[in-house]
Amino acid sequence: MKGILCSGIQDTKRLLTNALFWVLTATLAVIVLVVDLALPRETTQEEYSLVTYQAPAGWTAGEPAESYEALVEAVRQGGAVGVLFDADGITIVHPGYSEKTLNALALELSGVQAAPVREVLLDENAREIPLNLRSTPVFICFEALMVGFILGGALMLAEKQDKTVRALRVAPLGSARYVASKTLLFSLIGTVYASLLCVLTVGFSIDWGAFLALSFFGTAVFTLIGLAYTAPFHDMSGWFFSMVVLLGVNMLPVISYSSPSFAPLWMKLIPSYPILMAYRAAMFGGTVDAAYTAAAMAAWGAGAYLMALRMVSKKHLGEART
Amino acid sequence: MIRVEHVYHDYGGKGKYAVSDISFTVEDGRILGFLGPSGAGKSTIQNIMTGLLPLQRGEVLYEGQSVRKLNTRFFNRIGVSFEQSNLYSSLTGIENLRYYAALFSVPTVPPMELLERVGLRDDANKRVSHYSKGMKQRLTFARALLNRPKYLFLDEPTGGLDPKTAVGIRELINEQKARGATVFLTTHSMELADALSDTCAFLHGGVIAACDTPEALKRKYGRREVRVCYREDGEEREKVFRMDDKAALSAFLSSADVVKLHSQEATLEEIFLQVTGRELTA
Repeated sequence: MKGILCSGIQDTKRLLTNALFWVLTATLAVIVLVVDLALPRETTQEEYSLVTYQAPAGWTAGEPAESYEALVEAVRQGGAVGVLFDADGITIVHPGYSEKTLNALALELSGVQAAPVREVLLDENAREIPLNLRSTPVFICFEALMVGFILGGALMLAEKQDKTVRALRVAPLGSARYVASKTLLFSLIGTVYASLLCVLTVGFSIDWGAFLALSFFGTAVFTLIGLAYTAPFHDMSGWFFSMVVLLGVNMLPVISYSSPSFAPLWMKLIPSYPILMAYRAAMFGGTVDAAYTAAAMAAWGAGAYLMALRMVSKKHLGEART
Repeated sequence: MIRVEHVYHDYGGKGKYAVSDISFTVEDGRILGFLGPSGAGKSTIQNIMTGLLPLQRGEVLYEGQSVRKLNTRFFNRIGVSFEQSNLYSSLTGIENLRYYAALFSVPTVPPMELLERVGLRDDANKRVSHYSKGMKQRLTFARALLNRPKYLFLDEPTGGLDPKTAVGIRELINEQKARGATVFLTTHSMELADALSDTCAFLHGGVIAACDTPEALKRKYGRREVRVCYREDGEEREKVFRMDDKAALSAFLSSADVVKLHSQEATLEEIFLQVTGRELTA
């Protein structure tokens, strides 16, 4: 443990002299300023995606759900507005949209069918999300939590560039200790970054237990993936360009975040998906499938750890070591 | 004790060996000087012995245990000073040593003590990126001593150092030997090898051309002659006698006005040239 902490301290000193670290920190500061000062808290009407069930013939707006359960799931998972047509009339199912938006929708729907329009708020804990804050979970997930992926990789490549990795190979530093040291360090940094971003934009009224757990373990997962991914590379240029592609794929769940009705299975297999959805619930209320989130993160964490261990052992600390 | 037995290494896997049939033994507390020009295979052998390169063929044994079966803890017992310094340039000298000291699970020498010994105390808090080449070399050497290693691997430890600093490093190497460390000294400096080594191995073209104590090598390959400088008719002259012709030498010494007497001992450089047919240059 002493070795891990000492390595962490020295790695922190190395980070403070790394340009990428300051670029990331500056980016976080810019995000806070944009969210707080440049984006409006609301627009005349919120944008949302519509999911319908048992819509009458000729109804074309929104995407039809296969069942009421599917409609509820689309609303839960990402903030769509569900519209249920049944014998009792029209029911609007929503995760916490503003009264203004719901009234506008109700008015629109009342012209379709001469029946009462009711409203169902799925989660009493859900609250209306100001427009400027809706992107905060996205920024946290794809900026703060990526600190380990990007900077962990940068430190590894610097070790190859300085050839210090040769000295590490003849030191009693096992791959497990190397991976644990870097993962712990960046998980702490990622948690601090995420917390700062949250406090400076959303404030303190969030589910801190879930938020901190998501931030720490989320950064850990991405750090481990980053270490495994970076190990075979020898220079910054090749690594950086391919990393951009990988990070692009990892950002695809933003589509489901903004259009909840689009959440195919392959999307849910991307590691950022459960984290992003869980962040929204932790920061703005609402319900999330905690078991699925925990299971997905545990599976990704375990897989990434094994992969990082293997790749660091084979491609970074040397092939001849047992 | 380190035993290297019939080691071969082929980088490309095409049957072209960088080193072939390398065998030698280094007894505990002794220094083996591994001499050879650049490209002779010195670093290949050191890298195989330290686990940086996989052992393809042959055997390397530390106290009877194969290098193939050594685990991470073994690295608590070795120290390696690389020819090319490999340090964290963004950290200071003392931070570099602290970083590595934390990796060991055995007691380590206080970093400042080592920095003092290699003449870097005043530069301890300076970033390594601001160090000169010689300072980096000294820091790399100091790092190799952090864990009081049982086995010390030194690759050109005095390369690029000024004579005074080089003498200090030699003293430190002798101190390591005195406390019982087994030293594997890779160099192309004949002078360094001659001053420190208990045994010298000449590596040429990937094979060991000769391996013995420096004295034995000199006896075997040196000229057994004595050169006598004497004064005659106001001029200084020279005469060479074979060592086994003691009667003639004795008669001359008793009659001549002898100024200087030299045994014609060969240097390791000359022996290397004699054994391999090429000079021992970098």
